[in-house]
Amino acid sequence: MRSIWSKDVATAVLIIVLGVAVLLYAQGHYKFGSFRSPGPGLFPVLVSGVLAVVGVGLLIQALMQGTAPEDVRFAWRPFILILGAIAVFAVTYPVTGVAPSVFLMVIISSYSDNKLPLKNKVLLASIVTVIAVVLFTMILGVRLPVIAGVW
Amino acid sequence: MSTILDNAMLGLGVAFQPYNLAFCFLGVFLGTILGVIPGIGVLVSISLLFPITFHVEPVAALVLLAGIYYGTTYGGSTSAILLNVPGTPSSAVACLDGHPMAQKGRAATALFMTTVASFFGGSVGIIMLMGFSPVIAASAVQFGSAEYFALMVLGLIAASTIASGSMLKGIAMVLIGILMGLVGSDVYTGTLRFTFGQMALFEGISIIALAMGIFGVTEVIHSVLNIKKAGEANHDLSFRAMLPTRQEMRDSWMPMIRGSMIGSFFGALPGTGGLIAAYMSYATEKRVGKTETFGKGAIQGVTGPESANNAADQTAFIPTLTLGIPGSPTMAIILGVLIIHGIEPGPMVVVNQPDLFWGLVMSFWVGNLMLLILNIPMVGLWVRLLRIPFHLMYPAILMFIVMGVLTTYNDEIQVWVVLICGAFGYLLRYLGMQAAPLILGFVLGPMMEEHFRRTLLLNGGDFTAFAGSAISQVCLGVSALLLVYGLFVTYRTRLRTVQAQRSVSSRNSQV
Repeated sequence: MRSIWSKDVATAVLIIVLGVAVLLYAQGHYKFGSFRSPGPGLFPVLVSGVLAVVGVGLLIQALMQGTAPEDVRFAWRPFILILGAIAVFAVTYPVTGVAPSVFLMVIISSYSDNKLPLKNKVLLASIVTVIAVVLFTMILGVRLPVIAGVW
Repeated sequence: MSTILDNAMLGLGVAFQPYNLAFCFLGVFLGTILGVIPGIGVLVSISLLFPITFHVEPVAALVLLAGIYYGTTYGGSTSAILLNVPGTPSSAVACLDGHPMAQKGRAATALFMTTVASFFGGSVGIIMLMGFSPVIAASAVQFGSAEYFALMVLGLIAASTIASGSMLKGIAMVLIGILMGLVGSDVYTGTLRFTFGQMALFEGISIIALAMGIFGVTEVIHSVLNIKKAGEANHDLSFRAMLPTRQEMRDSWMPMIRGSMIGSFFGALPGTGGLIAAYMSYATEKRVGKTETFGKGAIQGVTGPESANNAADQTAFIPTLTLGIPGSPTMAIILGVLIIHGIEPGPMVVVNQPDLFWGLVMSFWVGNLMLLILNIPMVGLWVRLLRIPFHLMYPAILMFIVMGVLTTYNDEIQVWVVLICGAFGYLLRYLGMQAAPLILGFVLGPMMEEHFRRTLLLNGGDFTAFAGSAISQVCLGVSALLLVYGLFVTYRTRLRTVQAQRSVSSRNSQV
């Protein structure tokens, strides 16, 4: 017996949940008004309602279709490392300025496929940092701290 | 006729201002580079360069982004021919006969003829754009809110039915996009919606952060482990090797003319675009052409589709600029530039800002000419680009994304928005949902709501007002037909998959 939980079923359920959640939130928080004089809640309620209905349609379709071969694997390693690198940038930038945070971001992200030895990772990060500083602060002239407190 | 000439002259004046000329060159140059590199499609390219447009005049901003857009189509066929990997999705068709030509030692000719065909198709597209836009804009001036709402419904349904695999999935993405577009303060009452107290969301989700996250970051995460290793051979790319034979020239004319016509038509339709136009042209040539060489390096299979997708690139601007209704996610982003610069998209742009409209259109001529030069003598340079491995590029792409957003807003909060959009985009991709319809919904969402509410307000809550005029009726009618068609296609493919599964399982049980 096949499990009914395919990727499509999960997607459909997520969409239904999203549609219903937005509908309830919009109805609870924003004035619906009337069709004669629509309030800020009317359009979101309608759209999320339709979204939930489409979700039900997707669910029916997915259940009837049966399990499709799951071809795409979730790329956990790049997913975590790339997003992590961006998060590290967002956290360190206000403290250290552009240069150190870009450097760190490149180093962390380059572990996603880990094709370079550490020495080359450092070299790549240095080059990318120089490009960032030269292009954005010098050529485009955006005022950003390059190294906080120093430059 | 004379007015078109006057306008063309006006536009040429704008396009030839050194400032705009420089941005046109920058655009097509970057577009070619980014188009050649597989894994960076037009959406990623445009999202990456989007922040620059904040610092420049609206005309230059549009010229730049448009240049990147049609530049990638020129560049995309280069990697399709040489590596059998389309640099951009719309050049996938160029692999079919372009790569076999390269294997037969005719790479240089294939590259030369795609460039000629691209230029030809682009030119026909621009002529269509010049001829039809003023007419459409003139009649669109009379459209009211109900007509716009109907047109937008048609555009969104067409985009989700034709372009993506599953209609319901496409519609779901459009709806999610609309909801995301509603974040921020409501135009009529100032109510803050879906902001959850986050200051960064008061003015809505930034289209830059969204596009960067959902296309740029997602693409990087996806490509890191999936990019194909470039298997390259040395090709003779001298000018002498490029020249086509007399027979090849003769075989190319009609496919180019037919391709341009097909491309111009599909480019202007919402939801279709370069890729579909190229496939249509390929199918047409296969039917018309009397050779058995299709798939084995037929020149018709290269020149037809290439002129089709370039013509489509240009005519895609017709609905975007005259009605303010983008037919593709790329056009949605171009529309976003207009909105950011405070220009309300719609027919009034053509009427009230002829310098902007005609300047942009005439810059297409300039840009296409530049591409002709960039792609014929300099093709060797692009080929060398193909040798840069992706693991050296993606950290740099990431830097451009993050720095682009940071310098645009000077606020690291927007970097977090990019991160969240990137995670969301990858999740969507994993689940087999396309992000492209989402961005269309996102851009059109706020406009749709405005027209929706205004129509109700003006007509005392009467829903029949939405079908009050012939234009609305046609739009809504066609939308309904598309929905029925979409459901029919889904049903048919479902039958096929069930049958396929049955035959597979019966085969398995026999083994």
